[in-house]
Amino acid sequence: MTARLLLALVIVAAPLAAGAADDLQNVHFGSSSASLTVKGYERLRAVAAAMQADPAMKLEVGGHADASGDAQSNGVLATARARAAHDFIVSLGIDHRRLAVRGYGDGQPLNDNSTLELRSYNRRVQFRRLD
Amino acid sequence: MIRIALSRVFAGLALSLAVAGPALGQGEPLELPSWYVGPFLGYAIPDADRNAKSSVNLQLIAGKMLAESVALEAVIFSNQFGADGAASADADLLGGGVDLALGTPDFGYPVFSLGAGAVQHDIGGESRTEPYGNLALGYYLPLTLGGELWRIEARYHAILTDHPAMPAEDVVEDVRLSLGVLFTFGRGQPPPAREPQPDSEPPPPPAEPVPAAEPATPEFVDEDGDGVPDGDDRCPRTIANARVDEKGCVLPEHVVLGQVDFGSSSTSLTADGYELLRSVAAAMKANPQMKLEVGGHADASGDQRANLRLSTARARAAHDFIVSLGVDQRRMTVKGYGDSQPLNDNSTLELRAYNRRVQFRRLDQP
Repeated sequence: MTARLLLALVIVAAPLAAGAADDLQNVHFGSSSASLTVKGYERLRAVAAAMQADPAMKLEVGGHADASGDAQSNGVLATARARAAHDFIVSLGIDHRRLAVRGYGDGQPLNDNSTLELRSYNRRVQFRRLD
Repeated sequence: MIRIALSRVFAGLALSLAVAGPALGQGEPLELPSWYVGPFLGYAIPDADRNAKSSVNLQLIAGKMLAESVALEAVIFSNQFGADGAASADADLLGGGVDLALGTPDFGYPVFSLGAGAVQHDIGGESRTEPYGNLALGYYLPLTLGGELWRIEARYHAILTDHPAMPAEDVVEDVRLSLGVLFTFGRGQPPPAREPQPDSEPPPPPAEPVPAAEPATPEFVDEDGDGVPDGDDRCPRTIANARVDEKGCVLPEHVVLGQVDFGSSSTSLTADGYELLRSVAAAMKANPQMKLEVGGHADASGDQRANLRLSTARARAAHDFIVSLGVDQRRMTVKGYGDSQPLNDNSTLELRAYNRRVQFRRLDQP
């Protein structure tokens, strides 16, 4: 239990140290899918609102995949997820030059991929401030 | 009689080919059983030549999948047609045979079977063993209580008889209408394995990188923000803004049964979906009276039959995860609504997202 808690803290802390934007929540996806869900649309609307409120804000839109499937198709999937999030934010009136799209494949999981549930946290679009 | 029989065979074939094309969302793993078995009960209508009354149809089917939509089925059946009038006699049939079943054994799919076997044909006490051929058209209903399949079918059954009680060189044509329940085994993807840990221990923290404040104040970690620290919180992942008791569990009368949402054509749960389902399971454990209908819905893209199947599979995914957390499956029913109950019109991608969901309805209170 202690080891698990420690692991959780490390996993929670690592992206923060790497400069993850604090109030920009991850957008989650179904397996093999780059289609946005309701929660995803809501979070992207919040991201767009934050960008409108702060004209200096620039973001990297990073797409990630879980470890199922091969590395090459996960690269494509991760980029497609980031692209879907990017396109929706742009459709809300944000200048596309303030966003950079990047696909990370399955190389940066948040959790190990041992159960279906843990894997679901790795299928995400995550934001990082560039400014 | 034989000519009629043949024309019926061709009509049946044509119909089944017209409806049997599998319609499935892209890239979804099929979770089909490798075999299934179950009883059928229904109504048997005798050939007019028998001068007999209708009977109850008892039937048992066991199927083994050979490919995605091909199964080999063993069938046993029994009919007891009572005499209708003085000139006729009771007819007792007990038969068994093998069918080739074409169709995906999953919710909302049609199935066509064709096969042959032998029947012990007893008319007025005189018994013969005779060959029969049969064909059936069936449909897997889009509902389940715990993963089992429900199939309705109409079965046309022709016995090549030389029984002295029947007209010479006749084909006796009986029709059987039945409803069966098939218990499935060896589905492709089992639900996530239960971890061998005592009930009192909270579920493993899925380690979401937000909210940011957590690592700074380890002496009061309250991941779900319900005001009860995680160390004392029996339900550590309650829904935001829900009213909780002193153990951190949602008060049963205040359970907010949110909706689990999905990507287009997808039956795969997202991280948000898992969180919501964990809180639903916690609420069900806190309130043993609670019973739920797990209703799956699809948006209007795709055809209706595929959407029916998709919505049932979504409800099943949610149901299976709640059961994997230790909730008795008899407290839930699973139902697929297809695209018939949209929350929004389907005019934009975003509005459509609201229609792809699993929605809960309490069955123990209005």
